[in-house]
Amino acid sequence: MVAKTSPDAAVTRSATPTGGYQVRPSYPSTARRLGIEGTSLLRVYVAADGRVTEIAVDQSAGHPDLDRAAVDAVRRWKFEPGRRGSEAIGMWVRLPVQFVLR
Amino acid sequence: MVRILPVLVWLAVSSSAWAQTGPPAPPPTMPPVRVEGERVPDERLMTPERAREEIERTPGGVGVVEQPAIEESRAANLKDAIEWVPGVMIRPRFGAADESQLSIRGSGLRNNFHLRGVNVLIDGFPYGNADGFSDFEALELLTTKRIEIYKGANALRFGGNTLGGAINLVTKTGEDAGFIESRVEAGSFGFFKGYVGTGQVYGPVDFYLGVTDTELDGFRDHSEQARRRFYGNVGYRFSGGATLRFDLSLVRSEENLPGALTQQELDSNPKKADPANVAARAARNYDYVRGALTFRVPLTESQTLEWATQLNYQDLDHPLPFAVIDDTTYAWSSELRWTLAAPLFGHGNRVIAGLQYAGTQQNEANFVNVIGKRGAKTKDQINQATNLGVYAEDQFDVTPAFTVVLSGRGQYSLRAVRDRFTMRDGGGDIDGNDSDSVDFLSASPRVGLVWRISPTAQVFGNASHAYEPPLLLELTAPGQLQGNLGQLAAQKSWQFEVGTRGNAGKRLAWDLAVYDIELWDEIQNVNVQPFPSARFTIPRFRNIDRSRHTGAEVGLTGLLLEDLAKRAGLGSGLDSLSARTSYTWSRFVFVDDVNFGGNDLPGAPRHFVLAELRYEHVCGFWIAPGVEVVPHGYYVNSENNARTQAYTLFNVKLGYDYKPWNLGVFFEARNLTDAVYASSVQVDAANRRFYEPGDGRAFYGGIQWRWK
Repeated sequence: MVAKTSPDAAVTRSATPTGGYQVRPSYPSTARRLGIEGTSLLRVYVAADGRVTEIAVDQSAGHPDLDRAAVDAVRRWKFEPGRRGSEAIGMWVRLPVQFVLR
Repeated sequence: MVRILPVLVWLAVSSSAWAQTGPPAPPPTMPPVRVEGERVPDERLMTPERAREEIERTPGGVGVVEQPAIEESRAANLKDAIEWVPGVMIRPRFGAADESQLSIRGSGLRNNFHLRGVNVLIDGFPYGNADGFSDFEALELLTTKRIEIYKGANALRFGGNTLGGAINLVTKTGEDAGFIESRVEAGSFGFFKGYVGTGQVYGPVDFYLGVTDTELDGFRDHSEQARRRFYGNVGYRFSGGATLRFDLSLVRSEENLPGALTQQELDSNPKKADPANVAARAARNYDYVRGALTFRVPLTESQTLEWATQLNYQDLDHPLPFAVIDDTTYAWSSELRWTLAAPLFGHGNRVIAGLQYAGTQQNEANFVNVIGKRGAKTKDQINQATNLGVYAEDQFDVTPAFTVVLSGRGQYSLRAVRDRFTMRDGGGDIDGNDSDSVDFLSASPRVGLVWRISPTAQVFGNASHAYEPPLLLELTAPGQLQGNLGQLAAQKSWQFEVGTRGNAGKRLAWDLAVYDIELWDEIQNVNVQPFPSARFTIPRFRNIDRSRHTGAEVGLTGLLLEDLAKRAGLGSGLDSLSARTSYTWSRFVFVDDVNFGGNDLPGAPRHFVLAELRYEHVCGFWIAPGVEVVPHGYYVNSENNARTQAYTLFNVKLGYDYKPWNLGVFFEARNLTDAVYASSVQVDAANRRFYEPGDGRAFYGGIQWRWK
């Protein structure tokens, strides 16, 4: 596997989701029934082609279903890749997914 | 409903922010995504996915029919929409007209006319009269976005405890209907239906209006029908999350009633009407107005209170061979429903509790039928029904995958009659007692479980009590001494059910249930001749000491083939061929009865099969040939010496949806072989007029357009 670049001085523009947040995570019913709220902090590797190739949970929302729902949705997002000058590069970004009940 | 609130504006990160040296900085953090979940969803506004999740918390047989399925082909009567839900027996009496014999798990086998034994709900609250009577003519499919079916005694979430369960029609609102919706469909036997509707949202206010007109000459003589229906609602969303909604329905229904035929008449000319009905100009015409006010308020973050109050008025003119019935009916109800969705001892839990009050007053007059006109008055009385109900249900997640449901309903019901037929009218106080009343007190417990063996598969089961006091029309049936109520006990039953539902991806979806229902005092309709050699009959009602309903309901949908066109070298578009079937097995028997012990209960086929192949192409085209089969005739009388004949109907539906314009067209051919068959029956008709013929070969087409 290619070594993943860390953000450094060479990055001139970070990866950003194309057209905003796309696939909406749905609130998992088990966690909803248990009244569990929380924030999944995801670490997402956006490859140079804008696809998500790796995704990890840095900090759990407190229920595995919440983390899974967040990962499953974000995995399908398409990003505008990060850039070093005009060159598209792969990079990590962090994305918090907040689950709130009302 | 799940929403993401912030619209993301992602700023390019300035290069200087990262212009550091030394240890690598953590990756940049993006603004958060917010996912909102509703603890207690609003029945009227929840998404189809959430609606399905909610209904699948029921520890028993259920079904959901979504708007695309309702609108895909002819949408004339309830059979068109819900016939594919296994276990729902819905058999139209007069072709495309609304009036049907509706029975779920053998409920209302006594329904020789209209509907009882299944609670019809509109937006989760009872429609119809306080005694459990309702009919079909005021229900409109095209102003409905979803139909939920709770089979058997499985509707306690809504306070229902009838043997047959409930059918809940969830109506469109401004939030989900298109800005403009229109549809026209037409076909054989003078069928025409037009619809136009609009749904709009202005800040906290939304409204929906829909109007339909349905006209039908009918396959049979003397079966002309006309319906004009208006339905509208307006909702207001308060800033604290409360919603207020007002619903209004106006219906004018006109229909001629062709009656039932003997076997010889059915065989020689199924288009014929019963001559007694023609002579009497038998018809059922009424005006109907319904207003309902619903207030929904979140009390805390985990509690919601709903309050619904409704009033309806029906003005009925109903010439029948034995009388011209003239009723004005007022039915009103008010219900409070409280929902608590909060963990209990660290387990998921939900409590639903409700209080129901419903009342009906019916001013009933009968006249001698003189060729459809009113002759001398023969009956003039006030019929009253009052129902007080209290119900509660707890859904407790023992584990995240295993839910136990405990529920119960207590009910007090009063039925009363007051005779107003005086000496001057030609009647008088025959027995010195011009009023009568009877009341019923009941408790119906229920226990059930749902085991989610995988995210897409469930096993469920329940033991449920149901209790149905007799209807006013049963207690005051023709021939009853005026001012007196008939001697009828309430119908009691215990249902035992197990089943499973789920899917294995898109390959296979299933919905299976088996049940046994033990009944005490099942109410049966026996049509008798009022005098020897009478050319017509009148309905009478009796209790069966013990009876039993056993059945199995099987729904299967399977994907057979994909990419057919590609394989055949006919292009690259995605397409598929699938098959579905709905099979209902029913065994309904007298267990203990003086006259008929051991016989079959009349009125339901042992086997009922629907099967269909469906080809779909990604361009929007689909075609679905199918069959409806009753492989063996079934008894139509309690003596078990008359039965219907087996039949098979061949049907084809096809359509094309152009999604970019929300435009759809369909075409449908029914009963291609022009089979002569009994669609529905009149059980225990003394003059052996048992059979209501189904339509002959028929064609329908329609077009629909929606501007979002």
